Amino acid sequence: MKIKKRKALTRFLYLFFFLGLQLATVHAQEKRILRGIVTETTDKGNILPIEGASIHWLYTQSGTTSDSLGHFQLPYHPNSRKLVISYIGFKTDTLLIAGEPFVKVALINRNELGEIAVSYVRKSSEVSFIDPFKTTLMNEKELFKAACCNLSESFETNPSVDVAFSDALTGTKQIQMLGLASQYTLMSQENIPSTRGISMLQGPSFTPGTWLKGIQVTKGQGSVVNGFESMAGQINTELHSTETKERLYLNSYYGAGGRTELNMVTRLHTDGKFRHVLFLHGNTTFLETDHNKDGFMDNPTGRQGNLLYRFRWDLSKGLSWMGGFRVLDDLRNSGQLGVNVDNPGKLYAMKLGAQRQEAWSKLAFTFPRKVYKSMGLQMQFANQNNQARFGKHNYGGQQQSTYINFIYQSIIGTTNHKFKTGFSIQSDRFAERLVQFDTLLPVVWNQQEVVSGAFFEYTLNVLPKFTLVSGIRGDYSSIFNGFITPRLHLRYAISDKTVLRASAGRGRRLASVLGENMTLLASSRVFQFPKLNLQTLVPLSEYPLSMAGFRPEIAWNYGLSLQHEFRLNYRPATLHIDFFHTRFENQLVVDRYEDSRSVYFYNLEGRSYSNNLQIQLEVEPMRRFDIRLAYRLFDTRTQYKSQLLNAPMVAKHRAFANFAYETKTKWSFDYTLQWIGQKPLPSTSGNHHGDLFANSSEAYWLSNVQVSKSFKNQGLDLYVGAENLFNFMQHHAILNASTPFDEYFDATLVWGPVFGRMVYGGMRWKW
Amino acid sequence: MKNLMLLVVILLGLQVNAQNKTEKTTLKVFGNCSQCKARIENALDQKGIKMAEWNIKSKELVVVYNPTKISLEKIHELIAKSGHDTEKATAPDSVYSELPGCCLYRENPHTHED
Repeated sequence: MKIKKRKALTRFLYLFFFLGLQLATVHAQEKRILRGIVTETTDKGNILPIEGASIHWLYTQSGTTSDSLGHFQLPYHPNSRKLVISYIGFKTDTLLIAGEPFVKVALINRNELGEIAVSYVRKSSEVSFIDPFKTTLMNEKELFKAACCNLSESFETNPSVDVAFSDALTGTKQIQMLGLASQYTLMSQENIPSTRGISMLQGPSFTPGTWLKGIQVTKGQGSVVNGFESMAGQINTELHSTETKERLYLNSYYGAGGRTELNMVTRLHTDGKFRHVLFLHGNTTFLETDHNKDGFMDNPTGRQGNLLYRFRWDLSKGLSWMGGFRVLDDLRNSGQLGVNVDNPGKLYAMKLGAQRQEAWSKLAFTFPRKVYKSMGLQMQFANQNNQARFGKHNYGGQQQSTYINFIYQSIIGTTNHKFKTGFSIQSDRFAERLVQFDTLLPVVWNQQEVVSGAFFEYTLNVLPKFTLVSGIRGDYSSIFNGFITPRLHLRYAISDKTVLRASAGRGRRLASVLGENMTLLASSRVFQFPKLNLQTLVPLSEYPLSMAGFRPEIAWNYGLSLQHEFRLNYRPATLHIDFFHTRFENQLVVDRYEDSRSVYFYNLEGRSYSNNLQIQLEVEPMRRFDIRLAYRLFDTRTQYKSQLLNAPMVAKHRAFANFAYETKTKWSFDYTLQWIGQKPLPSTSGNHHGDLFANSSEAYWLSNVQVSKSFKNQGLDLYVGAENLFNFMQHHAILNASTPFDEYFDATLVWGPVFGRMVYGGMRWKW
Repeated sequence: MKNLMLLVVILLGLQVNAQNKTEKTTLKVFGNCSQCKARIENALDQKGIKMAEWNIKSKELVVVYNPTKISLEKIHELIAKSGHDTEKATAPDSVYSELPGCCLYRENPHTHED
């Protein structure tokens, strides 16, 4: 009996307990509490809890943090179903919560994604400690330090990139890395190669600075995923994305010399799965100026219209389609003061026109619940037209390019072993024609090269100590057969303050002989190509450049760099020491030494190399005050016809200092001081009756200053500044400027600014 | 080049000069996350403070300051005014209640084992 009673009691208790439990569950659901766990996957593949991760409902103040076991609980919010999970050093994740009681969140290490961190306070320009590539990330704040105007002018505060004038007429600023001309740096826009071939020289001026959200500057070779062309480095630009916060972003700029620029970035959507942004740019320079008093305009007059549209469409979970198009028209006029470029008469005139149309598409698919596994398909079509007239030289060029790149990325076992693989097709059709004087044989370049290939890149992460990225690609060119591009990047953290990087790899590119050297037409020098060995009785009516025997350029690049973080009087400081060696196996040599009245083009026979040492110190002696100091050594030599000589126009020694101070009331002061050493100059010794130049230029100082004030509540920024504050000028920049049609005329010997101090001002308004 | 060297020398000189007058101390400040870190460190962006760094895990704030320009009491006060309790000062409730959810360390402290 007693036993029975006891049994009944036990049953009752059980029942009670279960009911209670059930009730409790119901109760919990009524209160609607979301529970979850936040984890990370370590490089060894272990799943560990993240303590202290911040979890909150999007657009609300309701949030919590995870405990030492990674657990959290948070009441459901009536107005938000999007849960934001963030933790320092990890990519912020946003989840759509349908009503499940428990969620598992696996955060991804930000460094594995190689993304620019935006969610917490970072320096405006920095090199990630954990990136195996030597990449400087420049964000919008850094770009604001040099308010004017386009990509070619955005590197004033970055000592890794040099900007040099190519000639005294076109106003073109050429980008140099590691002492090598711009064509040896791969320029890409959101990882699609953008400035190539005949648009090489002017290309950077086609990207307005205001359109940019950031620039990544990689010294040495980039990833094989982005192709085989990079040799000295890679410059990747990122436009404002479709996720931009601002409804409208306006910028206007006015500089002495009548340079006027207007920019507008408009977000066209308010919300939803289809998001799109429109970019507009217009610029005009209307005043003819002659600061250095040589009878020639210092900067061309001209105008540019530039329109870009981009969209992002989230089609379904994990699948999105991004794309856009761009249309550009640019015109530059220059020459002797007062010249009418369309009817120059006896005056020297320069006219440079460029039109570009491009469209691109990117399909991205991330596998559900497998963030490490994704596929992407990038495509771009571009059409570029150039027309140029330099006195009696006429040039016309067209390039039609198609680029297709498919990337698949995943892991092998754990996220310690990652790989990317895929294939690419790159096609370039060139149609160029050059007529130098009326008496010479026209030079034509009509050729199409299709390069198709496949790549594989493996990344080994033993974080935080060691990273290895080893990539290889095999490509086949329709003209020059197959070639292999291997690349290797290593990163080793000696301590948590010191990191060592090493890289080695091969790059290959087909030179666009006329397009890349178009600005050399600003002289009476005659372009000399190899003699053709043709068994023909009929005299040629034109010179086919495709038969000149130019081989693709091939270079090996090796780099070693040290990054050390330390404290200088309690304040953070960083020291960078980089050494890069580039050695050409094959190069298109552009020889201006052999003869004062010619430019010879031929294949490299012998050695050609560039050594570059850079020592850079970044200190922050006070909060909001940054100092960047750099010294750079360049030794760039090529075997010319006569002998092994230093490349022209590359200074051996350079020093750089940048000071940036910001007050709490958002006044910013930026000052950049540069010292540029002597540069070797092309030969002018043959000009017995004309003008002569020394064999090297003078050393000189350049400095820029800018003051800006930010009115945060109004979204308004105002700035004024001066470039070339010391008003330094190369007074004698054009040889025989008074007789531009004789054989001694040469406007390509520019080693310093021809325009004096330039004062400017402008505004930015974000709404 | 000479000017640049001179500048470096002057800067280093200033640094050494400043070093002699500073004091370093560690104090406990309550908070939770990286947002708290930014807020605490920004509160000490003041004259006389050379360095202020707060550790999320240990809740310890390392301050290097010049006692002739700013007192330790003032430092506590500045932190409290930004919404964070210290071992000596308490943040006003009005400021504390305005903090974002993840920073509400009083209700939802995120404490480390040690």
